[in-house]
Order: sequence, then C-alpha cells, then structure tokens
Amino acid sequence: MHEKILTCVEPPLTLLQRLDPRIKIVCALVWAVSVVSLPTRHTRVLTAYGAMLLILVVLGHAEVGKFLRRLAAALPLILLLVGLLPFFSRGQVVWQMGPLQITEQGLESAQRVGVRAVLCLAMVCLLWATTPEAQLIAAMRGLGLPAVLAGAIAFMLRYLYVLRPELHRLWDARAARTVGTAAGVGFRSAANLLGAFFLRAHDRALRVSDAMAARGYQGRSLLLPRDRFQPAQILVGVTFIAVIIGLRWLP
Amino acid sequence: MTAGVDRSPPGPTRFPPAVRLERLVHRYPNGIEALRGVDLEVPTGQRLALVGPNGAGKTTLLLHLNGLLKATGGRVWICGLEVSAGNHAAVRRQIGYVFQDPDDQLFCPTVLEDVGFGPLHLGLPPEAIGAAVRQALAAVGLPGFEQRVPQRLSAGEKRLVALATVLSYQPEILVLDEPSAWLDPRNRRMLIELLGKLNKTQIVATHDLDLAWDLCDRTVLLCHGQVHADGPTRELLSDRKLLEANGLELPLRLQGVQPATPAQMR
Repeated sequence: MHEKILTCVEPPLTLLQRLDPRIKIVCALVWAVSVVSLPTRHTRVLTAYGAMLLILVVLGHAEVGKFLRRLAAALPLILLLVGLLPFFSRGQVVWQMGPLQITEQGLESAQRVGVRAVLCLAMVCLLWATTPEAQLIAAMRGLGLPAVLAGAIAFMLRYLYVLRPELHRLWDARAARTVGTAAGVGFRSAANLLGAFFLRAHDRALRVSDAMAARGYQGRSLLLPRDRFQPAQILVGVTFIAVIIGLRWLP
Repeated sequence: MTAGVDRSPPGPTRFPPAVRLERLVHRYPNGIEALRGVDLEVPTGQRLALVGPNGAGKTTLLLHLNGLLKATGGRVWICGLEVSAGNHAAVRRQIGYVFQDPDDQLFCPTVLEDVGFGPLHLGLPPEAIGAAVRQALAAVGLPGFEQRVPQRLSAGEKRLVALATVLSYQPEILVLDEPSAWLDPRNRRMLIELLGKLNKTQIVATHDLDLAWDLCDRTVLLCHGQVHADGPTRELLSDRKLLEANGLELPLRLQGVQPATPAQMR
C-alpha cells in the first residue's frame, strides 16, 4: 500500500527532485497564478505551458504511473464542475431540451476552466511526484503554514498507514463471523465495527499524545533548524519563474 | 533514636536513587485501583524487570515515573526530584520512556524529526540536535536512517528507532514497556544485546521472562497493584511456585528450551 501512495525518491536524484521543496512550492504557486490569470484565447501560451509540464515530468523522472493516477483521482471533480458550466452560462443557445440548454459561451468557459484546472492540478501532481510528503510538509511549515495545520496534515499522513490496516483487521474479523447473516444484522455489525474503530483511533490518539508529552511537548510545536537556501537553487527557481512569465508574451 | 525506614525525601547531595516510589496509589476514574501502595527504590545504574500478569499495574506504574498519570496517593522521586505538576519538564529530561507500540512513539513524518523531537522540546540547542540524532541512530545501529519514513520501517527497525527517540536526549533512566513485543527472535536478541550495552538505569516492564533473565539484575513481581516479590532476577524467576501463584511460568530456558546464541541467529 505504501508504494502505491507514498512518494519515494531514490538516488540518483534529478535536478527537480533535488530542488529545495520551498522553491518548488513557490514556483508551483506562480505557475497556478499565471495559468489562472491568463486572458481568454491564449491557446498558444496554454499549449506551451502544457509542453513545459510534459518536459518537467520527463526531466524530473517523476513516476508517470503515480503521476497519472493522482491526476485521474482528482479529474472527476473537475469534470463535474466543467460539465455543469455550459448549462449555466447565458449566450447563444446551441442545444436545448426542455428547460435545459447549452450555450456557446458556456462551452467556451467550460473549456477555459477545464484546461486551466488540469494544468494547475498536473503541476501539483508533479510537485507531489518529485517530493516526498515529509519534505513537502516541512517546506510548507517553513513557508509559514500554521503549525497546527502542518501538524494535522503530518499526523493524517502518518496514521493513515496505521489506522487503515487496523480497520482492515476489524473488517476481516467481522467478515469471519458474519457469514450468511441477514441484512439488518450486517448493518448493525458494520456500525459496531465503525464505533470500535473510532474508539481505537481515539485510544491511539491518547497514547500518541502521551508519547509527545513524555518527550517534552507542552502544546507548542517547535521546528528543527532548516537548511538555508542555496544560491544555485534560488537561481533555478528564478529561471523557472522567468520562463513561466516569459511564455505569457508568446504571440 | 528510633530505628526504621528513612522516609525523608532524598536530596541531590545524598546520591539519591534513580527512582523512588513511596506508597504509590493509583485509582482510575472507573474505580479500579491499579496500584495499591507500591514502595520501590531503584539505585542508579540498576536494570530492573517489572513482571506480573495482565492488569497487574505495570504500565500504570511506569506512567507515573514521568508524570503522565497523576497519583491518587503517594509520592514519586526521579533522581532526587519529586514528580509534581510544576516540574514535569525537568523530570521528563531524566526519563526516556519507550512505549509498547512503536507506532505510538513514532509520530513524525521522518525518523530525523522523530529522533530530534525530544532534544528539541526538552531544550537542547537547535544546532546540537543534528549531532544528537546521528549519535542516537548510530547507538541503535541505524546510521543514515534520518530521512526514512516510519511507515516504511520493519517492526525491528521501528523498535530501534523508538529507542533512539529517547537516547537522543540522553536521559538518566530508560523506561521500556514490553520492549520485545512483536519482535522476531533475531531482532529480540539484538535488542537485548543493545540494551545490555547501554550504561543507564533501566526499568523494563515485560512478560518476556527470558529477556528479564538475560538483561536485568533485579526483578519485581507486581500483582493486583502490589509488590508480591522483589529480588535478584535469577533467584526470583527460578521460583516456580511463586511464579505460578501469580499467573506466570518459568522462563523457557528453565523449561528446557535453550535460546539460540547470537552467533546462531546471524
């Protein structure tokens, strides 16, 4: 399970994998702002951005399968939003059935939003595919994300791998003792199982809290000293941002 | 002048014992009395095994040593310092508590952050933390594990990293709750060897009587929240009647099972 979800970056590392995660996050934010703020009918710029993304995927040695899986996981949400847009925009009607109608302007805005959303999402997936989660969390914390939020994300990632097998064990134990039971009994035992799971998760949270207190935690999360920004890495980041902005001026 | 037990709190100038419990009582909110007036003194440098059946109060006792549980009655001193709400930080600096389940102990995204958590939160200068982490990982035989993520470690590695999380701030006393739980024989043997090399006071709560036999000089048998026996490990753990009366049995080696030597394990 870990291999399917976790990002593991093995040496030798590419430039993109080695790049300071804080710089990568800033670059990804600039990318998102640039993509979203492009005026309508900038197809060439969007195409150039798409090509740039593909080049980065190849150069970054991102695991393509994992990258695509993560992208595909978020696509339904984008499709849902984009799919509704043509029905809610005013303009020249191109198709109608009863009260439902699709407008030309609606189709255009769906295309515009869809392409931009996919480009932004793909950049997030690339960032994730080339940076281990632990480094991403540390970088977000280093860039000023509140400690509580960073802690919540870190705990969620850490204990996903502990609680999921626990839920599976409970599920297996239930399955082993509920062969051929009536639907009502099945629902009741499933509800009992979920209740037991939440109680176990709560117990574990208390034990983790004890383990933190035992090592000096008093309600304030402290940060380990971070590496300083390397001038060469800053230069890479600035170059990347310059390319993003420069592409906006394509004819 | 009357003869009797000295009840005065040990002061720092009197070379206090590492741990001293005086009539320690703990009652849980549901009314269960887990500890019923435990008196115990552990000299500095001693390795003490705390054995007893399930529900005997072993973990409850350990949780009092660094103030994670508040005593219903009695007092606890750690290196001459009485455990109270006002000095938890000072007490916890002296106690390295390794929990039974390493997944409770390893809560950070990376091994580096986990092993550095104690030194960072117990006041070690930030610039010294890197060296402390490297030293602790080297001590448990896992150098270079800093960037590993806990969920990718094996059970044996998790146990060793859990130990490193407390060694990194160099506590005077190691408190281990069921250290050999979930370990295969090879990792269990490695852990015993490692703990044997650590020059620290150790209190080990365990059902693994062979571990107690190999590691500890002294054993305390706890049952129903009271000390039922206290003595040299090999003497106490050879007493079949005593052990069986308290829901335990002889260590496997005394039942004719010879443990493999470290060389055979490799």
